[in-house]
Amino acid sequence: MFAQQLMSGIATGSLYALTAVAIVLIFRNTRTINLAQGDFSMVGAFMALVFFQVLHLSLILAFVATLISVIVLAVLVELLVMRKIRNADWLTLFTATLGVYYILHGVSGWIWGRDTKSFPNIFSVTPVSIGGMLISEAHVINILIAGGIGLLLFLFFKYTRAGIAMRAITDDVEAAQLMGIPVKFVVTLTWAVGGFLAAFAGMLLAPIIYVSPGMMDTVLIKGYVGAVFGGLYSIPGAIVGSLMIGIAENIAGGYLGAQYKVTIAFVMIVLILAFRPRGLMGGQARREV
Amino acid sequence: MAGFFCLLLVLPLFIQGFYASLLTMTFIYIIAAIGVNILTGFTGLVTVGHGGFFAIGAYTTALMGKYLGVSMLPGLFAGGITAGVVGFLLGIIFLRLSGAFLAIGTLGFAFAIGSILNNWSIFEGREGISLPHNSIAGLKFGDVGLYYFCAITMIFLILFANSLIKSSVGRAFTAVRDSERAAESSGINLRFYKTLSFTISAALTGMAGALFAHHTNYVSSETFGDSWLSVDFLVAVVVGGQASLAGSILGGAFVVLLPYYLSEYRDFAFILKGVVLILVLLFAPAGLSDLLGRLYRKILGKIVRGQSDVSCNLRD
Repeated sequence: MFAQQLMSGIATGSLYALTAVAIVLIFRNTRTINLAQGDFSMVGAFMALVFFQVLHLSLILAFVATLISVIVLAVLVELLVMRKIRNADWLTLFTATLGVYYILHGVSGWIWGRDTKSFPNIFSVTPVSIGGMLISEAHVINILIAGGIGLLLFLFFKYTRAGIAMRAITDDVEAAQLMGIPVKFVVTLTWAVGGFLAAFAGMLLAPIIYVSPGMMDTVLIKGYVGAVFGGLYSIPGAIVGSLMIGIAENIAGGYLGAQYKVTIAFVMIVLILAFRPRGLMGGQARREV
Repeated sequence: MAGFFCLLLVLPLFIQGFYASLLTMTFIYIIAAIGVNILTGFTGLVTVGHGGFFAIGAYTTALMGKYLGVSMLPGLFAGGITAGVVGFLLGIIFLRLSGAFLAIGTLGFAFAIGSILNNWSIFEGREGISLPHNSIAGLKFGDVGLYYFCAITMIFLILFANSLIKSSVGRAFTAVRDSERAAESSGINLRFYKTLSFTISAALTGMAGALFAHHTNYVSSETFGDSWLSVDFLVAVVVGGQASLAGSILGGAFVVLLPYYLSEYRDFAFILKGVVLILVLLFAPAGLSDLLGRLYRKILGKIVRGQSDVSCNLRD
């Protein structure tokens, strides 16, 4: 029982991590707390429905098309809005993403309506037995995909020029600029990576939480909790934080009752911030905001 | 400003009860926006969680009305005091936070309040609590009566906020906002003033919440369960103008009246709200009050060209 809840906690937590990591990446390169991150995923889920059910594309094709459209959306937001105010104080940046949030909410409600839509289960939910634990196949696949993305990001930041440039901007924008790194381009790239993560989060979460304009609202908050756990700076910290939220809410849901699932995330965020204002793993955070 | 207040007091003679009710809602949002502005605009501590205090004020007066049969006026004060006490405690808990961390923490607070309202049986979740008919000392209040009650409360609180920010306390708030280190080295007790700002701001928003409960005569977690209210208050402050009371008046009106006039096109109201918000941030980052103030001075400058004292502060 406990081990099973642990596993499903890790499965949901790894999906929260996709949002949390994107929040950290965008925040540390642009000082922007991106409120629209969840809505990138929401638009992605709707696009996937369109490509898959309306246009009848094959699974892989629908998936790639969704990925591209969400990345384009994130890049457009950067180019049209965020770039113009990039030197403003963080509250301006934050409220600008709130404006984007309103627009995406309104547009998707306008086009697709406010009712909740179901999303086809791409992966089977029949439980499989792993080492004596029963766990649904979808959970296993979610963990594998999220883990694969984590590995991909690790390799990207470690070995590619673009990834190293992104880290350089995180450390010191001015020095990076003096070293000839095209800062504007790398910032756009950061938003593109955010879009990439959002597309995966949207498509993997859609079968679980269904598709509606408000589908990502609570997931976004849980992503924030994970991100704060890593001090809004550390990617491993954000991943660990998200997994902990997933586990905590599943165990609380199992033992206290399902309605406490939501409460636990908010209690965690208040506790983490009250006792470790820079997050439990945010020791390196240097930039004052 | 005095003319504006007088206009508000004679207005119900000329408009229908329905518009009085809409304006009442605007006054309530203005009070809440002033509460948020004291913390965010004047003290520099950004909050995305004041919907939580709004809910605390609303539920305090609703529960008191239901179980104790208390009327509007004590409910208003009780709502303000309860929210103020919670604000004081939250201010202490979040004392070390600033910037983005505080914003996320307060957002967490608003959601925590929302999930408490949903899960604790005394708050009756989505079923909600109906309030007894609005009255003070046995006198029943209709739409227009409530209009006057809210208008007078708002005018009183605007005057209070105005004298607060012009006092030494208000100057201490702005000093904390501009530079914590400089403020501390000139002998300003950071802990004291940050917590005080949190308390006052929460109390004002709580009073607005209490008025809201009496205006709708009904509270449920449907209204208070998510972050829309908190976000609306922040939008009111940013669109209207940070650290400007006139800005909070404009911002509060923006947040209430825009969705109202587009209520049949809810999605379109969302889109327009987002577009206006982004346009204000791009072209008038200091808010509508600053924009209007500049326009006003420009027009005045054309009229009285040649006189040298036009540049004095005409914003109030």
